[in-house]
Amino acid sequence: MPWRTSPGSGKPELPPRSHRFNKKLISLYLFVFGGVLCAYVVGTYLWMYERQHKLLNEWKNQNAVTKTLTKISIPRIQLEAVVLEGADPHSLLLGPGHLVNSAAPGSAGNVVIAGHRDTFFRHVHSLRYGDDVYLSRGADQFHYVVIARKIVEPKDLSVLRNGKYGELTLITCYPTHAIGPAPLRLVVVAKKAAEPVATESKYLRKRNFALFF
Amino acid sequence: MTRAAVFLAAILVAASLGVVAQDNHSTAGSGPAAAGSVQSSTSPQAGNDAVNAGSKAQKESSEVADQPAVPDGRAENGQLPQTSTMLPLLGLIGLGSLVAGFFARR
Repeated sequence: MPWRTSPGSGKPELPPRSHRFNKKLISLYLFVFGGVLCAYVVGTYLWMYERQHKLLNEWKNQNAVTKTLTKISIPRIQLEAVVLEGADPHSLLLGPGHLVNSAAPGSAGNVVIAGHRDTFFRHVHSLRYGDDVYLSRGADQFHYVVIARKIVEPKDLSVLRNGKYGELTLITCYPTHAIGPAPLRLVVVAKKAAEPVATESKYLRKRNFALFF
Repeated sequence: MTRAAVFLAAILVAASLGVVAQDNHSTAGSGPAAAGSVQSSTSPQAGNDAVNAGSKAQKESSEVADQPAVPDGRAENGQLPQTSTMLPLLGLIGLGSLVAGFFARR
């Protein structure tokens, strides 16, 4: 705001002292408020990636016999992360979460993994038909191929059903680039690489999945 | 001065709305899932042991095709997991506040 000039002198007239004080106070308040928020957000992200990095190191160093940690790798979106057990908010902050009681990686049922759209599953929306997804546990590596995706309401639990074959379901929030609470979920389905595509496609169509492209 | 006050008011309103919305959304889908969170987050190895233990049972899953997997407390609550955080919103509000502070100082 340009200062008024006092008549005759030509010098700028300063605002009243209380006015300047209020301005400084508000400015200080905004700086502190913004700084604390930014520090909290940056700190949380750093903590999250540091913990995930530590888990990845643990995964690399783990004994192949014990096979305790599971890692998900999606080369197309350059994702490599250790999967935690459970999909509660705390687990999802540290990495993708394997839903409790869904099938174990590599088994015949539906392996369901959820992840945050603003961190680990940020680019899941760009997966296309035929993209590879790997689940690794110890010396075992399970290869899945993306075959379908669907946008569903959070209450639509049909995506959790067990398929006839080995299936991997990735869940994240939708719209992907929105900020704030997400009204929908993006579901990407992959099948085990060895399974017959045609049968699986028919099965997914029956479940109203939009098969890719 | 007025501009700064408007900025401040807008930021506070946005923050309140965001926090309230996020709280409402998460309470709708939360509940029993939190019980397993401590174990899984503090010791993921222990959690993955559970996956190993469950693998035998899941080998029979071909027989139960089309049955719901009932995968979590959240699923039991009738919701898929909440996979968005309020961190980006908080970051945006923080940046907005810093910018507003800069303008208020001028």
